[in-house]
Amino acid sequence: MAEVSARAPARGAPARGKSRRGPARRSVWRGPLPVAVSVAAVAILVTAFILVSRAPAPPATADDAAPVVAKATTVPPAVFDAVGSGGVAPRLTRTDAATLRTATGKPIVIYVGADYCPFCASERWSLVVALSRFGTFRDLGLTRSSPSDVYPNTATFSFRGASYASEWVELSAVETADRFGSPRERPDATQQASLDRFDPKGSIPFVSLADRYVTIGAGYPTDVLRGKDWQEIADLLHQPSSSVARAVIGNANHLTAAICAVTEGRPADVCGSGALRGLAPGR
Amino acid sequence: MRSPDRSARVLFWSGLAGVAIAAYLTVAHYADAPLVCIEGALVDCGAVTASSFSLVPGTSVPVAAAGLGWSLGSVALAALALGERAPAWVPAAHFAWAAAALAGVLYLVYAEIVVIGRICEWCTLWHVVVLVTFVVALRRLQEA
Repeated sequence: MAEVSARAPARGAPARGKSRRGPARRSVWRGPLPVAVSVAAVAILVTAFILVSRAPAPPATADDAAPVVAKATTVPPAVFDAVGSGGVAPRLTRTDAATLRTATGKPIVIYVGADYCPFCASERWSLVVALSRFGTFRDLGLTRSSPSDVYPNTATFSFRGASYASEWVELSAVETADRFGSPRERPDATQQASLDRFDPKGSIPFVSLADRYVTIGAGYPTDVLRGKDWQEIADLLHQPSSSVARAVIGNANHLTAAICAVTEGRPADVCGSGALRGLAPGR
Repeated sequence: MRSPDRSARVLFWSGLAGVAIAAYLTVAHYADAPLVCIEGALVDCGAVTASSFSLVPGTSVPVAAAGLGWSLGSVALAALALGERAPAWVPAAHFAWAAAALAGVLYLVYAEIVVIGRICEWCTLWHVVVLVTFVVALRRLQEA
C-alpha cells in the first residue's frame, strides 16, 4: 500500500533510495493532507479577519483635531474644479418649500445626525468641506462612528461643541447621540419642523439646505473612508485623483451647488467656479 | 474508493446552486430590489450590496454578475467531467477555476468582516459553494 511507503523506515532498514521517493510524495499528495491544509488555511484567514475587525480603534485627542481641520477646510479651488462630480450621483431632492432663513435673511443649513452613525460620518466630511467655502468653523472636534455598527470606527468630525460663522449661510447642526448611542442634544424647533416635513421617519443623516433641497443618508459609499485615519483622509482631499477626494469632494460640490442656489449665487468666487458647472443642484 | 462520477455530480449540482444564488443577487442588483435577508447585529445584506465592494474594482459590473459567470463556467466544467470522454485537463482546469474564485471570496470576506462589519447571507451561501467546489475539485485532481 502507498501509505506504508510514506512511513519512516524501521531502525536498521536500508536508507531509502530514489526509487522510493516518488511513491512517498504521491501518497502525501493523494492523502487528506492537501484538503486539510487548504480548509485550515481558509479557517485561519477568516479567524484573523474577525480578530482584526474587533481590534479597538485609537481615540482622537484635541491635538489631532487642529491639523485635520486645517487641511479639510482649506481644499484649494483647483481641486474642487478637478473633481467636479467625482462620479458621485446627485442625491439632493428639490422641494417646493419657501427658503428657510434667519431673522437677518441668511439661508439656514440644517444638519441632524449622531456620532454613532457611520453614514453621518461620511456626510460630515462633505458638509465640512462644502461649508468651509462659505464660512469658518471653530472648535470642530474629531470622533469615530460606532465600533459595533456597520462601517465601524469610521473617522470623522463631530458638530457637538462646534460653531460656524458665515456671511452667507447659517449652520444649524445637532448630534442627537454620542458614538455609543447615548442621547445627547435634541433637535430645536426649527430643526424638528424641517424633520417633520421632509424626514418624518427621522432617518439620519438629514441635511436641509434652507428647506429648498434636502437629502437623507450618505452622499457616497462610506467604505471609501474605511481603514483611514482623520489626517490620512484630510491629506487625500488635496489629491483630486484619490478615491477619497472624488467621493467626499464630489458630494461636497453637489452640496455647494445647492447652497449657491439658496444664496442666489453668493459669494461669486465660489458659486461661479468651474467645479459647479454642469451640476444640477437637485432632482 | 469514491466514484469520480459522484464527485463530478457534486461539482455539477454545487455549480447550479451557485448559478441560482448569483442570478438572484445579479437580478436584485439591476432591479435595485432589496434582498430577502434576515437582518441582525451581524447580518445586513443591504449594507454589503450597497458598498463599493459590490462592484468589480474599477468597473460598474456587480461582483454578483462575475459570480454568475464563474458558476456557469463551473457547471460547464462539471458537465465535461460527467461526459463519456472527459478531457484529461478538466480536473486541473476545474481546480484552477475554483482556486481563483476562492481567492476572490477571501477578498470579499475580508471586506465584509473587516471593512463593512456586516455579512450578507446570500453572499455567504455562494462563498460556501465556492469552498465546496474547491475541496471537491482538489480531491478530483488528487485522484486524476
